[in-house]
Amino acid sequence: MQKYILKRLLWMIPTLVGLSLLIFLLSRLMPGDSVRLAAGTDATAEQIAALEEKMGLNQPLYVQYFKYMFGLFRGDWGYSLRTQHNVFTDIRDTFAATFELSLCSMILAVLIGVPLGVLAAVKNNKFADHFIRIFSLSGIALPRFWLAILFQLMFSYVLALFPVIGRGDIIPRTITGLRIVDSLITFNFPALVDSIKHIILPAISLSIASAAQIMRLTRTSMMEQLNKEYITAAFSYGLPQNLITNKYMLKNAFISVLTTIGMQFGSLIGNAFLVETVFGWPGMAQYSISGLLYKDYNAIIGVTLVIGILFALINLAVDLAYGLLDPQIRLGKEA
Amino acid sequence: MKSFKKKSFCMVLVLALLLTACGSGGTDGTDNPTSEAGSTGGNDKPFIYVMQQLIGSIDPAKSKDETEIIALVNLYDPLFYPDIANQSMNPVEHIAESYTVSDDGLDYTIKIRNDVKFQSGNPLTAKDVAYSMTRMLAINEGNAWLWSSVLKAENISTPDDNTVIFKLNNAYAPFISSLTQLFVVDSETLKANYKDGTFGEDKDFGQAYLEENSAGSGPYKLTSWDKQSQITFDANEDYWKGWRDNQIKKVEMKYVVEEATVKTLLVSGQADMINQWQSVAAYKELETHNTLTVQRDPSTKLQYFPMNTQKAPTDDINIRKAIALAINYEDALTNILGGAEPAIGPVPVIVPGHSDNLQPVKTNIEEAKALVTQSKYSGGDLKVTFMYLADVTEQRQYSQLVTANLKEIGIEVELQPVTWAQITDAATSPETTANLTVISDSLKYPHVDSHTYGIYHPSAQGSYRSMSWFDNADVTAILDSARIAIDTDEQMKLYKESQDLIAAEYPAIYLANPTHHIAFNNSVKGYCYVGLMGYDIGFYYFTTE
Repeated sequence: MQKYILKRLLWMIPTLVGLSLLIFLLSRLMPGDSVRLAAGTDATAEQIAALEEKMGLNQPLYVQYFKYMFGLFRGDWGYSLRTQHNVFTDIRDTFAATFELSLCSMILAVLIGVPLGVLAAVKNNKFADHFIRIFSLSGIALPRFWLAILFQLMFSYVLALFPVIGRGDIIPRTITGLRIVDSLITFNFPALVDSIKHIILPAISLSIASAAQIMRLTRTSMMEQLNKEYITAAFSYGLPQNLITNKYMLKNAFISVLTTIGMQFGSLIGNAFLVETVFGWPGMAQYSISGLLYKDYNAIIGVTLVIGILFALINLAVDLAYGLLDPQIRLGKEA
Repeated sequence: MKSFKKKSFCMVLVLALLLTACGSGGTDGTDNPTSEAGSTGGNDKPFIYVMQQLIGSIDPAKSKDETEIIALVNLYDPLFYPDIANQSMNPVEHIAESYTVSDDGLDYTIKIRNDVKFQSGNPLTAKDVAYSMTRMLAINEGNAWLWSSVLKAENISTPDDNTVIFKLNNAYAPFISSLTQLFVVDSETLKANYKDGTFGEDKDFGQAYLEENSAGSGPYKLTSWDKQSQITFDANEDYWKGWRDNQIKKVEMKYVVEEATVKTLLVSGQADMINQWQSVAAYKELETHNTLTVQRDPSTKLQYFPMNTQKAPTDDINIRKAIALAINYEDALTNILGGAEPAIGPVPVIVPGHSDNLQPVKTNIEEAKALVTQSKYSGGDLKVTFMYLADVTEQRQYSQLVTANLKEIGIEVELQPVTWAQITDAATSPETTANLTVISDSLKYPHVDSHTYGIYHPSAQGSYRSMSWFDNADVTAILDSARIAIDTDEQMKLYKESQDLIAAEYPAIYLANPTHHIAFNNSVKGYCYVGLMGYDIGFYYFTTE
């Protein structure tokens, strides 16, 4: 197992190097003069040249690339043309917000999607099944940003139950950067309540599409299990329905669902942009889109690398989780 | 029965969602009954202003855009300030007490007030003013371009604690106006916080310190700054202008981009004021709420389409004039801009020094067609490129308008929807600049020079402001003379003459001086638009009831 994990981690390195090279070249090829933009619309030619020199953009591309890669390990992720700060600082300030939002959304998606998927499978072709399937189709079809605005209007404006924007007014001591976790660690319950109130609507908005996907896949996988002989045998032995469904069927059905959960989590981080925009959530997704529009080279590369690392780690975690669910595919050991 | 209850519940839920989607909270004029109108009531509660752009820097030597200037206006004091009391952009003394100008227009002797203290407690003296300008010139970012060609650091002197003398390289008509952009920093605080840098004994000039702190004398102190979302100020209780009842003591500037969210914040009372960059339709909707004020003012913005005078076919004045006459201005002003004042020439109408000789261009298709036949390109296939911002609704509408209008006179339009970065890139050479580009420009400093010399002098070429690549020797000579004219009347006469000559060459379609909109809670008083970007959001001048 340890060898497997080490091997996977080592394979991440060439993947990330390739990714960094690709995005480095693409960002340079994008049209638009970002230095001129960053220097200000009234900047003189001398000011622009000075900024280019400060950022090393007057050097050959390969020199720029190697300097950037070496700088990564020293915490120097380059200067953001837009925010005028080190990109490492910007990502450090924004990553936790996006990760927390994505994590909460994923948890909600699983908590909503899996039980409803199981229910739909068990109540196949009954009212519950039809309702759940309509709900899941709607969840996939409705755009996240539209849902976000709708929830904001209903729950923040009309009902005034939740705040309109932001991550929270009471900030707990920063340990992990995840405010809910930090509030729990520091026993700061006002901050905990405040953070939860701020994250609920964005998390629900972001989670619905993922919940719908999970719901559909869980239903399909569960229905496949329903027709298996071991289930027929379990019923004939008189085992309770709940035990059969939740312990035996779900465990076997969950392997394919797990793959979807892993992919969804990665895509949540990228799709968080629109929800972050609507709720004024100071996250990395919004930072990255602004960086793209401003052609902020270093920000684009920095964010891409972080997302790349995250994707790779999530895939590794999913693969390891397979082994927990199915002994036949326990990794690193013979069956 | 159970099935019927389930179905009823579902129908009610769907109906509730649909109703919420159809309504947008208060279109019938009623207001949110669950929140108080206005989050500040004098004034322990923060005044919440919604900004559309993050603040990159609060260093006075680096500020470039509106939100950064708003921060500086509140944290620092400049030498001169727009005349808020008389609702005018004309600069009046602020930290400066008085000034004199030598007969040759080179020496500006400015007396500084002796009752101003920085937030650190240090007195603000002439050496801080000199230091601020020296620092600005050395770092050479932000607004340094205003002075870099007319002033050297070694020509700034301080004969006493309250006198600073700027000896210019050459006479410069907008110098006093430009000093509205020089925010004075606390030199002692910065020197005590120098980090390693490239400016010799001045090291980094305190740049690292000002990335996280402020060092000004302004009415507010920096309390906290989450660079990705919000900046907070608290009142500087020792501010030299003093405080009156009901002034704002705490401010939160929050970053929100999504228009629907911005409107929700204001309507629900969770924000007190929003920025000027929402759509015209948004302000019309906000007007329907009786807890809100939407203020409209003629602005110093100019919406125009520069025509590349160095690229075929717009290098022919007949074609440029034909295009200008083909545009349906009425349609643009009424339907796209929701009612805006027509532009009259290259300078916004409310800017002092605007030429009264000019008239707005009127649509005349027949004359336009005649001009096309008189042009050197007559008989050929005429095509122009039209560059505009793809993500701005009004500009997409302009593209459709221009395509339809020019088709009537036989000119085909090739649309180029782009990003702002692409526009600034295209502006660097006449070959890459489109035939027509949509530009929205604001006054950079409160002087007519900004829209004349700043756009039509050859030295301005290469920036987005000068995409007409205009180069007229007579205009250049007049602008050079205007800049060095000592007598104000003579200055203005020359600037007006330059406008007449510029307009006669049709280097641009001067479309509109778009109306400046801003919306705020009725409890907010004292807002005054003076035409200079960012200076209308001086929170010190607001009160709340």
